Amino acid sequence: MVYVVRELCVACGRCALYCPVEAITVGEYAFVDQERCVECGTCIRAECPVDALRQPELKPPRLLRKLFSDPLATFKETEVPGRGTEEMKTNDVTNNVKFGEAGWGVEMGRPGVSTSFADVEKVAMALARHGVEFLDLNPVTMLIDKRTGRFTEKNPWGISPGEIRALRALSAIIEFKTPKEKVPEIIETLKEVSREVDTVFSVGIISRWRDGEPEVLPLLKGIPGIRVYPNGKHNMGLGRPGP
Amino acid sequence: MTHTNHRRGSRESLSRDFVILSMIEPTSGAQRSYGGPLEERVRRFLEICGRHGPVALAARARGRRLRYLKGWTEEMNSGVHRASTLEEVMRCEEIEGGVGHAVYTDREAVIEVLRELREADLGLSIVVSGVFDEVFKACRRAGLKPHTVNMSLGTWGKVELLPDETILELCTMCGHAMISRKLAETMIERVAAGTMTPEAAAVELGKQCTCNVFNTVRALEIINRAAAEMKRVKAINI
Repeated sequence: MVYVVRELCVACGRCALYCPVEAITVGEYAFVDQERCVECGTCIRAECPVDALRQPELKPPRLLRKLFSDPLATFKETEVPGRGTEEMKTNDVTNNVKFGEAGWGVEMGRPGVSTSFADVEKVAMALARHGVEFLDLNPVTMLIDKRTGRFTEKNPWGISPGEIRALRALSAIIEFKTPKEKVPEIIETLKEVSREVDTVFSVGIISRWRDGEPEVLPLLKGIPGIRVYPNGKHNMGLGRPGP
Repeated sequence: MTHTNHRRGSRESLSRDFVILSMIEPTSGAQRSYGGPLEERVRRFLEICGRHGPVALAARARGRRLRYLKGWTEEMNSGVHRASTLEEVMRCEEIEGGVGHAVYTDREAVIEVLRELREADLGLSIVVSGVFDEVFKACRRAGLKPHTVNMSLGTWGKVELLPDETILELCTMCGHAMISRKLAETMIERVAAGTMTPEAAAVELGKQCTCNVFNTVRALEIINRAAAEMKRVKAINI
């Protein structure tokens, strides 16, 4: 875990300025709140003028904080840097999200607030009750029982559900898909669970393109209080060989 | 990694903010080998993107990231953050993997890039982030139509934990949240106080975005607007 060598620290506050989760406070020297710290590496990269920051090699469960929070870390299990998932970026090759389906990315802790994994589990469990299909190549999916959304000890790192719940990350993406007809009920569930978490989450909905617009857009337009933001991401269909 | 999906800002500001990404599906041997060596195809992607005036261009080379960012010069380097020239990224001989990023402010440039990418048929998955109708217009003119779209439904939950909208506009240009709200606030304060140029402030924020998808041109506008407002409020309170 990142720590400060007190004898070297000159309390300039540079590391605290760059820390995205305000885990560093500065008195006579800088102090890293290890519960709050998500091991994102930003303070290390900010270049301490007296080289007073240290980051020893991390082991699970602490390592999970880094894997979820540092875009320069890579999940070996998915081979994707960042938060370890490709969502729709290669959908032109994988066809993970098909016509008639809605893909979802619920990004716990984003933007910049961070999340406890207890909150991640809370949302995953609420979604599991609707029989959503959690996507396999995703680091959150690797921690949960896909039927219930609960954390399980059957994960690649062999850590217990209690240890997982005690983790924090800058963000963690719950990815799943549903038949498009389920869009209204999933939104209702997300609205309900949003009142129960101690963080924020950003919601992305993925859809195939049909007849000049995203296939699920008409459904979204009919849901009161739902705003589709003017900007988003577009897979151009240039990946080869596609389905 | 949905790191360019939830950028915040007015429609007008976001309509000058496009990110183009190349990627391959790691388990797809067919995509990896389509049309020749992957590294050659990524280099071609970077070369096409680099010729159309990007604000940012990034490549993954062996053991490092090559990052061109408009306004970032060598003397602004700090820690692991090292500036590359546009040519260094375009001509990199050590490309690793299928990922490349480019950022633009101009829709016409995006159209040209997409047109050339379509003709080059590199087999890479190409994703464009931006305002929907701006990107759709660009698609049409480039002879493309989207395959799949990711729409943002915004941020839910304890939104009172979020910083104000101006800070969010800056911070969400790094989707991995590497830009702290404190840093963004401090950059605006320094510009308002005249102790830092807005250009240097934009680059300092952009350096934290290790994927290099930060738009320094847009950031400059946001910082200038916020610093002017800060000075106006200060003048009233004196």
